[in-house]
Amino acid sequence: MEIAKLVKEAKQGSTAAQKCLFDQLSDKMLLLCRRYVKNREDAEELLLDGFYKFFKNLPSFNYQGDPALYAWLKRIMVNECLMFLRKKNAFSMVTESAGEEMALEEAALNNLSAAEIFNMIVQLPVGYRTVFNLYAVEGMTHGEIACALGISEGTSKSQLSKARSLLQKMLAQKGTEYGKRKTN
Amino acid sequence: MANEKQTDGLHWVNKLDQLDSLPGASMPDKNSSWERLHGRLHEKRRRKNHGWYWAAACFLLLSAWPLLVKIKKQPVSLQNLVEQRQVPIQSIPAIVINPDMMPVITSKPPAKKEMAYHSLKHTPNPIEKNKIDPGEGMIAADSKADSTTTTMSGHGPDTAVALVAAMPAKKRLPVVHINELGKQEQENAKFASRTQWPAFQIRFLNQENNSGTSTAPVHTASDILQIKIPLKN
Repeated sequence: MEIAKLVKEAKQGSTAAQKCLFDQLSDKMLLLCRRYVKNREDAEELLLDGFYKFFKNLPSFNYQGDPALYAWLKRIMVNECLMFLRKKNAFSMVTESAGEEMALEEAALNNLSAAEIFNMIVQLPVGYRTVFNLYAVEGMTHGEIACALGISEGTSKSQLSKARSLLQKMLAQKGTEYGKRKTN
Repeated sequence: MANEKQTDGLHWVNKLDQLDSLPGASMPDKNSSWERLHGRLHEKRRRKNHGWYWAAACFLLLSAWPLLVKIKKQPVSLQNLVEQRQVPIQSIPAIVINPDMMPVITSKPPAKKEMAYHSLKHTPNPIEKNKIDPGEGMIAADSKADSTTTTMSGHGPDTAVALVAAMPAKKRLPVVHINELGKQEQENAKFASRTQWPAFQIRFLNQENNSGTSTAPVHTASDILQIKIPLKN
């Protein structure tokens, strides 16, 4: 069934339509949650919280196409994840300076599969991972990230830099020589 | 979200975005998750049934209202409380003061007073030095102020000092030193001969005593600790 029709019926309170929407979108959204929260049970709980808000606010949502719906649902899920991380005080930003920083050539990631990229991102520390997800994947600016996480822009930048460095190291370990060594 | 430029040309972001599921990473039991979500979505409807609890609470409040009003109407005062809690007089023990247990009057000052005298003795004022009599003890020490003012009034035309000197001298009260044993018979005779000794009567709860001054036959807790001190000067 088309998403538009399901949304229309779900707005009218159809439980079947709501279940269909949940079945269609839950896997994708679970992956998104797991990119932010490593623990699977926590991610599932956040998924349910996000869908709860989604269905509660669906009557007030003006459907303008599938991408808009996806973007809205993604935004709800990301906010849930950030709230969860903030509650857990998980933003213990790693501040120790690495001896050498490696600049990540993000084009190198293009040669990897989606699953490999996902697994690499999940392996990052929570601070690095959150900032990297928000900046590189969600496309937020450092100012927006600083507001969302309650940190300074400088911290956001340094976390992103360290995340890239760590990803480059991971790529190097994988044997891919797309990284470019940067001397400070 | 507005900064989409930085992800332009990055194929890996689109790949990641289009990833629907990972092998082994999908939800194990969607139905149970949906049941949980469905339950939470319809939880509010169930909460509407809590109106019964409110109704029951209102009913209880209304049924208890007359009792609350009755309690509120009764003025709560100390007198009422005391009347409500009348204690039988037999339950409270009587305290009788035995005249034999009265303190003995001696002329010798206690050791503490002697120390005070010694401190006065070492004062460098030669005028006061002559006024202090060691045998008199504190009486001499008390009279020090009067004698000093008298002496000073003769020194110069200080009007303030003269006014103080013109004022009538304070009546000296007899100094009684207790806790000192004197001659027992002499003191007893002295005590017995003293007719104007202040009579202390401590009566608890209007208890009848030898003087027969109590006229109130009704004994209430409000009469606790009445002290009658008829003093005749």
